[in-house]
Amino acid sequence: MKKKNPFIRILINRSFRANKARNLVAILAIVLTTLMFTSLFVLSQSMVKNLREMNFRQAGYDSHLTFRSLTNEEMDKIIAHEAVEDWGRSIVIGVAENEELTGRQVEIRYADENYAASAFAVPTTGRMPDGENEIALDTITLEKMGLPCELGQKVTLLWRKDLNGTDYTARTFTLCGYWEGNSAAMASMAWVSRTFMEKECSGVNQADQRDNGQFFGMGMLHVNVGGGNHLEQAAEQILADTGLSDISYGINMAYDSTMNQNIIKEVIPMFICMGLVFASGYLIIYNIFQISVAADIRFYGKLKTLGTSGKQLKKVIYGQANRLSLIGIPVGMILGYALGVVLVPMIIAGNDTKASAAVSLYGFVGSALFAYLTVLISCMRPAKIAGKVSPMEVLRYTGAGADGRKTIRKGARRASIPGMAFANLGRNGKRTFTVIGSLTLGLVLLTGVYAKNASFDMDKYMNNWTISDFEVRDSSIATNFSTYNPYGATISEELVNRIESLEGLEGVGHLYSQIVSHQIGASALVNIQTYYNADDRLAYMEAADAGLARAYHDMIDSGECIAVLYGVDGLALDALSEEYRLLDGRFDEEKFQTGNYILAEAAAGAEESEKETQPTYSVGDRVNLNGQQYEVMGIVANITTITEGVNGGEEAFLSFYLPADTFRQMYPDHTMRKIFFDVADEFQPQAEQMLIDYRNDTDKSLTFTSRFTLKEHYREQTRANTIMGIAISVIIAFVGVLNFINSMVTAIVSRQKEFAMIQSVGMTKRQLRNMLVNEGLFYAAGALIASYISGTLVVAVGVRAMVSGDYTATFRFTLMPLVICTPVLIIFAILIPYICFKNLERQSIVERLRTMD
Amino acid sequence: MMSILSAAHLCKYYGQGPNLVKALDDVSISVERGEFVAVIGTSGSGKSTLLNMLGGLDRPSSGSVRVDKFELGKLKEEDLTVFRRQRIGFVFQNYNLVPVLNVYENIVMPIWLDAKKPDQKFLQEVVALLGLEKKLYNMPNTLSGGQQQRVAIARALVSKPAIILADEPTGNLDSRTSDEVLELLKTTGKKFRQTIVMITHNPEIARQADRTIRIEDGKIHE
Repeated sequence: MKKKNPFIRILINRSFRANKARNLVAILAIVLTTLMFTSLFVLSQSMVKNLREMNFRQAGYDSHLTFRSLTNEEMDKIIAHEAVEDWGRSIVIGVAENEELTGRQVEIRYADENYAASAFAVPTTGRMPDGENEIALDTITLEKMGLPCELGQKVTLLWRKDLNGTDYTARTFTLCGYWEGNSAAMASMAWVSRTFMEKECSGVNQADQRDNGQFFGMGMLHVNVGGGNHLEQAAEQILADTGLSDISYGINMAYDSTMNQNIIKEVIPMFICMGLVFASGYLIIYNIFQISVAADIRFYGKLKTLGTSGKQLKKVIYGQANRLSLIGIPVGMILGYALGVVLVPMIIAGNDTKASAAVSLYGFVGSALFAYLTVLISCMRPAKIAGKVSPMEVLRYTGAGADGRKTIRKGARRASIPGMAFANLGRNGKRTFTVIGSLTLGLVLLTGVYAKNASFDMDKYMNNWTISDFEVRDSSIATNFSTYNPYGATISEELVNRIESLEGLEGVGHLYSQIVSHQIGASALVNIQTYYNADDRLAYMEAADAGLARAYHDMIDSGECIAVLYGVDGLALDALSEEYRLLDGRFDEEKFQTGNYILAEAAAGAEESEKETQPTYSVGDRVNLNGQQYEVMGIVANITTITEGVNGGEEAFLSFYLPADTFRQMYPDHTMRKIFFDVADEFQPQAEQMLIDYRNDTDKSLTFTSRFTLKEHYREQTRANTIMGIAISVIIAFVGVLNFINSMVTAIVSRQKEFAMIQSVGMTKRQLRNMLVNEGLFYAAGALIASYISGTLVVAVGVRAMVSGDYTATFRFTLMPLVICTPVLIIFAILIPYICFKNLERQSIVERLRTMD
Repeated sequence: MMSILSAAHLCKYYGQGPNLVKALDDVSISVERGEFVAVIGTSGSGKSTLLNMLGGLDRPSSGSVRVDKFELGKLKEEDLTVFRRQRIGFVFQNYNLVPVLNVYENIVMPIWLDAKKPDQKFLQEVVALLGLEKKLYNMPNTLSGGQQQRVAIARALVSKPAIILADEPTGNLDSRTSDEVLELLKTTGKKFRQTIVMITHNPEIARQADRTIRIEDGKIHE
């Protein structure tokens, strides 16, 4: 029958209308499923979009390649190359060195529209500069300079044309345009006009400038090549074809395949969620149809007797499912979209810029299809059951015992109510198993997820980011490309005094540093080469960072490298000498303080990987530093928060730690690079306020980190995971409860006649109800016993194993969710049979005894 | 004359070993076209089981049933259903009307299920004969027992089946209504030349049939 039978349609219509309550629940379930699919689609798509944008913003531009320090002729040559599809050019004037701008690199440049666009620096208010004294800036720069975002402002910038000199050029410009600054990028742009640039640069010999390592007057290109794959080859090809050599170029890391892998990694949880939504949606909708078919089985049986074929009965079920989908799916899509839009900014914790929701038609079609598929698959089994119904079912009282295999039971059991209830469970072992199984699964998963989350140790995690409650850095560190300056003034005597007089101060640590040129000892040179030749590290370095690779080869050839000397004490030294960070050697504080010993730094992340030769001296080696001999006491991990930014971007291959006192004897004039301090918890807000006040009143360039703020930040970032984890557990538990309801309802509905029969021979209502409640309690008890046993196993074995490898976690045994769910489950076990029985009660025994319609 | 319905060596057993129940034990019958046969027996004698076998609702443990030229044992489940709605009209003791359908829909249901159109003239005739003209759009639960049974008879007749199988059609009705229904069944059967096999335990009713088959303990006692 290809054509839809009009009679089937009537049947669909009527039975659809006759099942109002079921429809409502089913539509709710479908709406829920669709809603989850849609919002997950919206979320994952937005995530991909936002991550991609973030990568571009971090790179600071969106073109494929950038060529630096070019002469005009070289730029023309590159642009003319056939592989170049699109380009933008810019000429550097200088880097603003105004006092207020410490901490932010502001590059004064001329750029064409294309360049500005690919650098995300097109004025959104006003326009690009045209007149000689016009300038366009971003809001970050304006804010730093304390200027309002209004066109026509006078802006004075200060820069050096000769980076080696001390002559400053000062010019006052008029603001002709501004745009929202991109704090993820390393520098802000300050666009000047072509007229200004040409005037300034007249007479500048670009080739000479480059040879002298100067920026002033040099050109930069943003280039897009066809395809966007194999960017490095494309760049090399362009340079080879144009005959240019020694041109430095950069590949936009946002196009790197590892970036895409990272994006996929971020989105994978979403796909797992979708799988779970599918599973739970299936279970819910399946249960609803299963209940409905079981309740209507006599109806289907009658239809079958009267000649409705199995195929036609299936159509009746699917027809109803279609109708429910038709209502549920669009509603779910709308709600899901709304939810997605609300959730996106919450979940994709903002990197300053607001995350926005992205939706494509695919997302909508996809979620609608997924939801519909869920409904169809859910209906498969109920439809099959309805289709297979035996016509005899309606003609004769079969009861649930029809398939009982036991024919004899020897020895009379005491006929108690619980005994009967227990016997009833055994009548349908498969059903009992399904109910207890799904409840247990839900509870165990919930417990596992909770235990995993509970094992997260914020303090351990924070130790990765900061070794103390507060950390103040010299502002030269905060600027990415500042030249190395050991005499920075941020951590002034005044500030140190204020810190040391803080209430609740628990500990302080100081960090000094100096970059030195170091003649590498023989053992270290061997160690370094052993390390870099292992695991293809050298090959990887050559591919990823040409500059570093060059420095590496220079070092191996010359036996000389740049090394960083650190002077540490207090908290910083405590952190370094912590056992798990001490990779080799034994730390003896007293000996160390004599000043004859040093600690050598291991490769980054070495404390988390297997023990191996570190690219530095070995314990016991003697190291010659500034004409003095020191013995290596230990190899310590590289603690990012200590070393970050200190060496000012030099390619340093070796780092050594000295006691702060020894260091200061060597370099008495050096100022502190970083100061670390701990404050008792209750005084932390005050301490933070002190730093904020100091920044507002005394030194605008002050940058600091507080563990307190980091924690907040972390919570914001992981909120998505927490929400997802909870949502999934709740859904699973919900499915378990639904299964429970399902089995109770089917059991009761299919046994209506049986109940009427026992009642007719004298079982009171109360006894019958007790029997049903007892059955419910047996289910609950079974599920709870199974849950406690397997939950304990899962947490004690599974979660412990999962957590053991995770350095941010401390395992704690907990069955909390299970304990909380225990009374809830028991209440359900009593309530559900109670409610079902209430429904049953409405009909009189006689009514029920007579064949039911 | 060729028999329209025949059963040969029908057996239906339930249970095993000491619990074995022989609901039907080697029953063979044959019914001619246009015959009105009454099957009588005490309760539990196996008469309902026999009727279910004849109508293809249940499958025998052994033996065969032939209706027209169809060997029921050889039909697949789905084909058997289709066969049933096309060849057999059932009338049950409990009427078995579909509660969500109105009287008219209930009557034409077997025809619609076949995706065919009912023969309107014939339908009118049947409806008129059964006195259901005014009740066509009522829902079953608004009808009395006698009226419901008349709907069931109309449903059994309207698809012009080869045989009408009636299982105690008057079992739930009072005696006056019983007489009426029985009379209708007889009249319509005659009028439309249909074969009727009817179960009853009322000898009074059985006497009105062309032939009576008595069944006891699963065996036929002619």
